[in-house]
Amino acid sequence: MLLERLSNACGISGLEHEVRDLLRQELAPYVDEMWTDAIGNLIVRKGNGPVKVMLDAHTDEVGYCVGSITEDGYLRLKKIGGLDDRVLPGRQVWVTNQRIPAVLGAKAWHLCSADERGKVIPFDQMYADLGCKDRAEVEELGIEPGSPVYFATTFEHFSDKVVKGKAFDDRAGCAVLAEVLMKHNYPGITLYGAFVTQEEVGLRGARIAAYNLNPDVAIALEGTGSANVAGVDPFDTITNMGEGPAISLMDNSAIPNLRVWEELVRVAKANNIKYQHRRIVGGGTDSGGISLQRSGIPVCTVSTPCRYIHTHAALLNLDDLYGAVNLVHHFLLSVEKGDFRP
Amino acid sequence: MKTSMLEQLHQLTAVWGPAGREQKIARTLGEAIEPFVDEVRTDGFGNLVAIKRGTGGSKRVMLTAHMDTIGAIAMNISDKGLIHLEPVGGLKAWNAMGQRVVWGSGAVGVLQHESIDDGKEISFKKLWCDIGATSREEALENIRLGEMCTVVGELQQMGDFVTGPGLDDRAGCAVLLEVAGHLEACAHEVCFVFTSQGETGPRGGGTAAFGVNPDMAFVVDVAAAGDVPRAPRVDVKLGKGPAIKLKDGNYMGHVGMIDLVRRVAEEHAIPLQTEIAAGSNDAQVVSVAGQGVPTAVIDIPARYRGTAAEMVSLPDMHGAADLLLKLLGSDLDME
Repeated sequence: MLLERLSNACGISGLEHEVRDLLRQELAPYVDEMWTDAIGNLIVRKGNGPVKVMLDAHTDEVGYCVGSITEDGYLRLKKIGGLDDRVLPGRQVWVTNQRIPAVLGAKAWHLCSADERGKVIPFDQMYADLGCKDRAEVEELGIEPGSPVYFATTFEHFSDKVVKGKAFDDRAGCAVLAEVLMKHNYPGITLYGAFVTQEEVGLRGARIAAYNLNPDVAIALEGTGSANVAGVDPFDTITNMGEGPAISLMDNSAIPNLRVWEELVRVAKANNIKYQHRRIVGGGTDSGGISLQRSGIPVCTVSTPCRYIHTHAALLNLDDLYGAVNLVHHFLLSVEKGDFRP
Repeated sequence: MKTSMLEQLHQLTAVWGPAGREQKIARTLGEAIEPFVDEVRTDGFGNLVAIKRGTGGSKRVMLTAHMDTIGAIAMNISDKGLIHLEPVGGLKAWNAMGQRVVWGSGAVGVLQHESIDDGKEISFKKLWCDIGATSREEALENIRLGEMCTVVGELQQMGDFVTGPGLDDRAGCAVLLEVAGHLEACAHEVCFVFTSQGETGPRGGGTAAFGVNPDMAFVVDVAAAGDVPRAPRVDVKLGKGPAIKLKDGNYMGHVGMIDLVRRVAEEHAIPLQTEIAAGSNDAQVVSVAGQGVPTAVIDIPARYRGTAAEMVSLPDMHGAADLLLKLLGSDLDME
């Protein structure tokens, strides 16, 4: 499935060419025009109607890049985006898009004091171990400071509905956007699909895309946190995986445009699409970057809930993902029919 | 029919409008300013833009005040029907405790907190709004998730000072209306902008400035005065006139604009204080919008910001309006 190919593709912020190439190839038969802009956003256009709608999903994933190579052949890493130090040591990673295997190492357990054993290993004491004997051997592999480092994991089905993979934030959004483009036509509107760069490091690509496309209305498609897991108070779950796509209420980057928000809720109810709200303010999405362009662009975020987001093994429920596709589809129909005028 | 500043302030502070939910206050402001301007419009972000065309050949000047207030947003509703919230803008849990609120739906409620032994335990996580519902279902008949509320209270005059919720920045909005009402034919095109989401960002000021594309901007806001115990160390007092901001956490004053404001204040003997502050306001985003906008901040000193009893001085507000009128009557050339 497309989500599988998207999840397995590698692209930290600013190095998303693998994801772009995949999307270009998949979407070519379904769109009228496609181009890549100066910052690295892949833009596709479908239809040529009077109202311009932009659907946004970011192509980058969180990961690392090589900060420096030690004389004895280890890699010191820099974080790209937000990563949880608690879940890193002992994990396998891939270095460069060639996927050269390495492991995130740290001082061995039997060398740690009792005090150290109870604590999360600070990131600056961690390193990536390629099994190389010295710097020269690392350099021969084509690894240099700046080389990307990815979670080494591949997509798999845990059940019919629940899938595991890396980078669901935001390949889930890319999949939703691609599905909408491949399944449906909206000749009454100009639909832009913006597969944008560098969300994880500051909502950067989306700003440029929204400025250039100047849409009348936009929706940011995201993978968001979900914590309906053992030991978490139902109030603190952010979203519940399996309970439908999440329509944002407010986050640190944006308050959804009220009219767009109300229309999303209306079409969800009218078409019996199960939905929920993202019940936390923390975090930001491309909506923040999009909303502030030019004289202001009405926008709301729709997310697919993902447990263990930003880790090696994120989980999502395909019903939520296809629910998001359905929700966006009905929103676009409403714009096309003129029921909703941005 | 011109309305007095105090009356204007009464009307404006009575209108509900937290960040992102400014539709009602935008309507009120649009109706109030419409007789004095040539065009009123709303932009894609929700800013209200009112334009009075110039008599010719001069500058396009933008005046801004943010029209939103702080508040809180419904994030969860318990089985008991209690609404759990997160703050919208700078509403602190300790200022929210025990306050009455009004929701966008018109429902009223009170903000209450778990009982605690130590003030350090105060947190929005332990705070809820009780609207008198006894179940989640009953609460949902009145409130939906994402609904916002604001703290309510009567505006009261106490000598030269007034106190009440939402003076940040309805006081600035009242100053802009006062300027619009008293502005005779002006060489400059004057764009009065009531911005959206000044309390969560600031955000709207930037999109407004992009759309208006002014030659210069004056941001009118309220700023923390330093004249009460343990106030920020700012050399600004209530009743000593408006303040020209030299810098804050996210804005460096434009030297030419500061000189212009000081010169005009001096020429007309308008008391003007000097402010160096922390924090930020619309100037942060206005000044860097488009190709850049020379921006000055004229602040109304305020005590107790973020509470149900913010306090400003009416003479300071009149001073700010007078200063802006004198500025607009000048050639606005920077030296």
